[in-house]
Amino acid sequence: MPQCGIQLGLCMDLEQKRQLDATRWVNNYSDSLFTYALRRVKDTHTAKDLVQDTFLAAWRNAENYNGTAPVLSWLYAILKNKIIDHYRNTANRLTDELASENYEGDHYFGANGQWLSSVSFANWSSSPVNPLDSKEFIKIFNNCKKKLKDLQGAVFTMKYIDGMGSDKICIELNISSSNYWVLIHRSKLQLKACLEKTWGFN
Amino acid sequence: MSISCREAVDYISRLEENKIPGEQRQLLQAHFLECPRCIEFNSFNTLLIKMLKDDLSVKVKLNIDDKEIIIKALKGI
Repeated sequence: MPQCGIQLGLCMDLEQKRQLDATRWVNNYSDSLFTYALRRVKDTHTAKDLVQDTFLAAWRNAENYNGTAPVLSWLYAILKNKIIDHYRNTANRLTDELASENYEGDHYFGANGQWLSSVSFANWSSSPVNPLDSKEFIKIFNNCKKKLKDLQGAVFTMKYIDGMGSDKICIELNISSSNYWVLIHRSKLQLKACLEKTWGFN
Repeated sequence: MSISCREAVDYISRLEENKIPGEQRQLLQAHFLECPRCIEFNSFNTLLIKMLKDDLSVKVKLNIDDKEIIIKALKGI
């Protein structure tokens, strides 16, 4: 006797519903997830991969979604974990990055730790124009952020965008406190150098 | 005892999380009195934090092709 009675009909309905859900999920949530990811990783390709991995992980574990939180919140939680994993992989390149001597920030100080007199200094406190009012400045700022090295970007994002404390960041990325502070202040100096050079303060 | 500009830059970041003790905080304040450049860096730092916390990123949309790839992948599971 063929297995195509009511039971099979029900299965087909569920499968059709699942197919529809895939489209609905992606159409409803992918832009939000992509924006979130792109704000936290350097390049578009990585952000796309993270979003796809998030959907796949959610889809495979859909039965674990208990429905108490909105679907998007659940997807964000998965994406956050994916991003942390990405940062951890990035952190594995710590030694190379910290050993690099190609940080613009290092060119600010002399051997005695004082600002080099040759370095010009923009007047940020009394700029006649509020840079944040300028779309061009915001574009430049985002471009300068992209120039941060991977680990710098990860630490910076976790600290300032996600609001995590240094202790937690060090644990998540498995880096020492001293390395963490070096990364933070080098990142700031590098951003400052990039902004002043590109925005045309000097 | 005084601190260098490099140390001052480091302290400015640590101060954001109250990670420097009172003595070092006083050293930083004393350093500011004699170092206009570090005062400027501090101004930059304040603006930078604002820039980072304000959402200055451009809102983005995943393009249709990329969405289709994900939908196909989901349907293939």
